[in-house]
Amino acid sequence: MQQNGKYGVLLLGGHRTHQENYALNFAQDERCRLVAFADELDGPPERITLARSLAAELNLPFIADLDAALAREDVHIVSLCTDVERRGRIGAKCAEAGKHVYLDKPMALNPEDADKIVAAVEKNGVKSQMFSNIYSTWARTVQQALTTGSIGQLQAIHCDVLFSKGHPGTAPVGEKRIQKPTLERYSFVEAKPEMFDVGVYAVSMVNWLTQKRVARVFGGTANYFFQEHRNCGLEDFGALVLTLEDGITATIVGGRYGWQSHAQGGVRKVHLIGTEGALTFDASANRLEVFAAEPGFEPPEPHPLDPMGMWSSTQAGIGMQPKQLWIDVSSGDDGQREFGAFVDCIENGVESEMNAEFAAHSVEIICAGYRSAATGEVINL
Amino acid sequence: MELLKKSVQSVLEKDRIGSPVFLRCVLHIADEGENLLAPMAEVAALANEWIPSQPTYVYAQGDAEATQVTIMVHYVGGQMALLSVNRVDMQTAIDMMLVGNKGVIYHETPIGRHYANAIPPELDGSGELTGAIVQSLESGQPITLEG
Repeated sequence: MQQNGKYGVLLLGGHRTHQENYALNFAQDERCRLVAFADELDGPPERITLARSLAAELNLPFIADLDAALAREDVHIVSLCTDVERRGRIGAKCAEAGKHVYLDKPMALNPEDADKIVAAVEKNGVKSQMFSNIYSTWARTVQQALTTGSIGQLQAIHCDVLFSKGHPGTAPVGEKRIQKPTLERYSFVEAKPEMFDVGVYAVSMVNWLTQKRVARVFGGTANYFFQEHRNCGLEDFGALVLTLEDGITATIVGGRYGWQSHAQGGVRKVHLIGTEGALTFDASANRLEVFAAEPGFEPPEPHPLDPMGMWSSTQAGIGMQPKQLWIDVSSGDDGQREFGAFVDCIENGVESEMNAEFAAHSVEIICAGYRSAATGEVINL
Repeated sequence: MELLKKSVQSVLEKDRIGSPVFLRCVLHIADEGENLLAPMAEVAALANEWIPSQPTYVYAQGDAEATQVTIMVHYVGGQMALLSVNRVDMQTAIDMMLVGNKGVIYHETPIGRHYANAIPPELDGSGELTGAIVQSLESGQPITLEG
């Protein structure tokens, strides 16, 4: 299937999507070759413009007709970073064309769209993977500890993933959020639904670590920090209590809480509670702490096209200075492991640990969380 | 909890984190056969003290006679608390994150319970200054490096 010993990668999405990073990760894998960017003929014009500009930056062609791009025999993998609203349809189309599908997170807007991808992947026998944290060093450390059984039988797991980005303090204080039961729109310039966008890391981590299905969901969403989210009708924070199929308790926290809320990129933490012991894992624990006679971190001026600091290109454009108080010791190549793992699956004919079917459960859980937040009720899955 | 409360209160009074909106607290209780309801209630009181609103409903999971209890508290003003109390075979310890609308207070004790999070460094023989170190060890003298 390969050509010249390499997998051809078709890139969907452009500037101001995670394709800015994913394309580079695929390019760094010596088994892969970037082929082109593409989009639907009737795709949103602003998205097409952004795809064309990233294609130009990477010196790659842009193919205006996705169907034509998918017909190419030198395309084996599709890296899918379109707007979330189109992922279900396009992901299924890519799989139907016999292409392996790498999915940005979350893989789809709702369970129905996720199921379209799952069905097409299964029917066509292609490999799939959704971006997650499970290939990171700290996640593997948690998994290893769980596997050894040192804490006895798992009774509870708590996972927090928060992004320390954005300028907080603009949302009204003490105003209870009115959550709608379903999410109709995901993509805005200035905001995303953060329980979905960030919380998907925590939910998929819990799913992967426990390998258990979630039976019940209870949760809440909030507008604690940003007027931008409130104006878009989206939450900036969410928390869920999950009951796993055999009674294990799980909780997750996901959100965006401001540039200066954490010494690095935000909390990433897991607590495991077992019958014989408890363990805590902090992704930032293996660090240098550097105190120096130098200016402290200053939040960047908000970029008009990216006030929440979501994208690499916009942050580079405003000269964003990195936080330097904590320096990771151990996890420098997490991204490469994530993408390498997917190519490994293709090469070895095995399923990814975060394939479409597995990842679809995260979408189901979070969407149930929205229904719970809207109704105040426990949602049975 | 008094020392912790006092410290947190000093930060809140200066409005450094803005208005508290969310408390995440994981409390490990050294196992002395205690029912977990009392410590859980104490943590809930902590949340109620710090969050400037009234609790409107509580969702609880677990078994107070067994390993753990977890509760989620929602407040009138939209604030939330996610609280867990666990029976453990080690010393009592707390890990909390009090999120305000403009900042965060983190506290965990003791740090040493993170021992299982450690990733030992892998040696690959790419060290430098080896010769000078050996030389100094043998001579008991400082070694001047060239360049």
